[in-house]
Amino acid sequence: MATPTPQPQQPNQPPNQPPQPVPAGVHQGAAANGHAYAAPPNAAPGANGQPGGAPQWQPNGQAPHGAGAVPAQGLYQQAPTGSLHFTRMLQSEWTKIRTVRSTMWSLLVMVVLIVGLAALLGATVSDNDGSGNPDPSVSLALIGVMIAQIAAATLGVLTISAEYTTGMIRSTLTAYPRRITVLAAKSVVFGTLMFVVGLVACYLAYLVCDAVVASDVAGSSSGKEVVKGVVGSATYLALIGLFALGVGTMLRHSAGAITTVLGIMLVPSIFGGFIPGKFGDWVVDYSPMMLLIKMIAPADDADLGGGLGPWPGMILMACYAAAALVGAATLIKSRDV
Amino acid sequence: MIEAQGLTKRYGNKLAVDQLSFQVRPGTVTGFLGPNGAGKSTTMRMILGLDSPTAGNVLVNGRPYEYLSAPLREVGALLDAKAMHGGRSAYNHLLCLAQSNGIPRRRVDDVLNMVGITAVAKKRTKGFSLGMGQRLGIASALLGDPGILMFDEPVNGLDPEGILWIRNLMKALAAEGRTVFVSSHLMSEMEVTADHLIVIGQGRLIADTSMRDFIERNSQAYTVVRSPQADQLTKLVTAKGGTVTPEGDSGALRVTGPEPAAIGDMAAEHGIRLHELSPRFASLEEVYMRLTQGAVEYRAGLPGGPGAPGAPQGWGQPQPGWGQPQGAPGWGQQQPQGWAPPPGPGGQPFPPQAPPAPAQQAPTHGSEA
Repeated sequence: MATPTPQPQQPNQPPNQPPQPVPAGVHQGAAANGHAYAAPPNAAPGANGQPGGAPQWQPNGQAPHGAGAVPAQGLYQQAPTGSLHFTRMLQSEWTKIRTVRSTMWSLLVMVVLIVGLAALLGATVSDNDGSGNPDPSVSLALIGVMIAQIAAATLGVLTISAEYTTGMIRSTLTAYPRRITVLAAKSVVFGTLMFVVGLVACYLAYLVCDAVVASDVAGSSSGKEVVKGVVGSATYLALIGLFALGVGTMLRHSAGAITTVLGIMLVPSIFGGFIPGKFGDWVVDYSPMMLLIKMIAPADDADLGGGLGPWPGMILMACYAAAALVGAATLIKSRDV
Repeated sequence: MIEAQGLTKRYGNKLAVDQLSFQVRPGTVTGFLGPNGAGKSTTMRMILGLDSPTAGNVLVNGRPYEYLSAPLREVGALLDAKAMHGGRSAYNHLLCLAQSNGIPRRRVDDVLNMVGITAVAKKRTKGFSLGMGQRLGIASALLGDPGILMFDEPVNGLDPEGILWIRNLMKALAAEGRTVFVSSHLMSEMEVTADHLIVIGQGRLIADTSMRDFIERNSQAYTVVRSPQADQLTKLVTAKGGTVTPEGDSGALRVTGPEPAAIGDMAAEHGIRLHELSPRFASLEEVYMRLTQGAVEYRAGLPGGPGAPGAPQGWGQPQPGWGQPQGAPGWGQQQPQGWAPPPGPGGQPFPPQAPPAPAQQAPTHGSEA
């Protein structure tokens, strides 16, 4: 279908004007709108007496469904104006995320994994690496993020794939047919949620671990190290979640998308080492897992020589997420639901 | 107002919807009738922008659906009862939809009340029965108090009380001046609900007519006659230009042409004893099946027609005066006699019509597709 170029909002159609509820049965505004309302025939009211009294509620003061208001052919009076409605979509997507138990459970699992593993490792690890130069406590505290990212990725996939598997997506896109706006709102809400929860969980993990760990296992962390570890991990969780959201949108099936994302997260870092030559190093260095490890590990860790530094690594991670979301946007736009 | 022009949807090499043009007008219940697989749901999905047409377009209030700024305030749709996340409560399901269109929260309570599921509003929809799911789907359709309502097979799975409720709801919504577009594969359901009919078969438009015209045109009367002197009576009626065919296996005759009174008089004049003389009307269900079966045969070249399994008894018998014989090519192309052509753009809305009189069903044609 040909897409007309966006035009400025028509002045006669204020989009955000609050609706005006009108008491039941009153055909208010009909005459003003040129509605050719016919006298109600003897249609019986509903069995429970309710539907017949459905309030005549004219949104925006004008709804051109009346016979007198049929616009001329090809006159698309209202072009898409995404930004005005974006806050509505953010609200809607936030409601969706917080009202499904499985997503709240996944979030809880993520937090428990991060904080719990920090406490466990802090309390039980007794060997240091013998170098006499213990790692900062924040590096030990955030090891749990490597596991918790699985919850983040799962949640990212489910945020969209659950809509497809349940059929909710048809309600969503009927209510709001501009699909890329829907995807953008979902991404913003989910990404923000993951970042904030990740930030809180990682900082808690650091506090807990730092409090319980023995001084010969992990040394104190500088402010800079804590910021790098905590903010970096939270950023990573948000980005891996968004990457998963993009893959979930493309694949539309929960199990397939989760498997794919977990494969991408885990396989290169595990099996990249078996690939001989530079290519193997390259696979390992640029895998998401390695990008996370660089955020968590002490800056002077000799084992992590090659590849990008921690923050450039996050930029690469953002590119992965962006690529997945661009693919998702392309497909969600073109596919039938 | 919904306007489709040359709407076409192709899946692979199968044409699901073929050059469909029609208008759905305010103030009436428009029935969208066709057998399963005729393309009704696909058409409705294209109206809502869920599927994109291969060719043609469909406008809602003069614009493509995706250009509506708050679609729920203009169109409410019940496509399938399970278009919801089972883990979310009914209230929250409606809330997130309402928020996306800037509809105030209190409206959610209103529509929950309206469809009578306030008591289970906080329950997760996973446990909902089909009827409750259907009511929740209708609540979401009513959420924006839209001028256009679309229901896809709304009575499927409902109990008799639910069916009555939804029929009355649709009539009440149309009486308020709204556009109501409801699909069904059952003529019997449309007979009691719709004012206007759009019939499709194999994705093609077969009829676009008011229900009243459809009934007048198609409820062809005939008379069932039972007589011990059947042969004599047959000769007599045939000589007067009537048509006689056996009615079932009971030895009764189906007489088309003369009025029952004329048959009775004829019999009396010739001293023929009559045991039964009862006027009947062709069932609209039967008419509908003939129409759509014609389209099926024409499009797909399937065997079928007379004697096809599941066909109502007497279904394949020649019926003079019923237009073209079934199976004739062109059901979808030529306008069958007397049917109004699809109205052109800018046509005046139809005045709300009186609910159609319940059509008499011939007892031999009670079976439904």
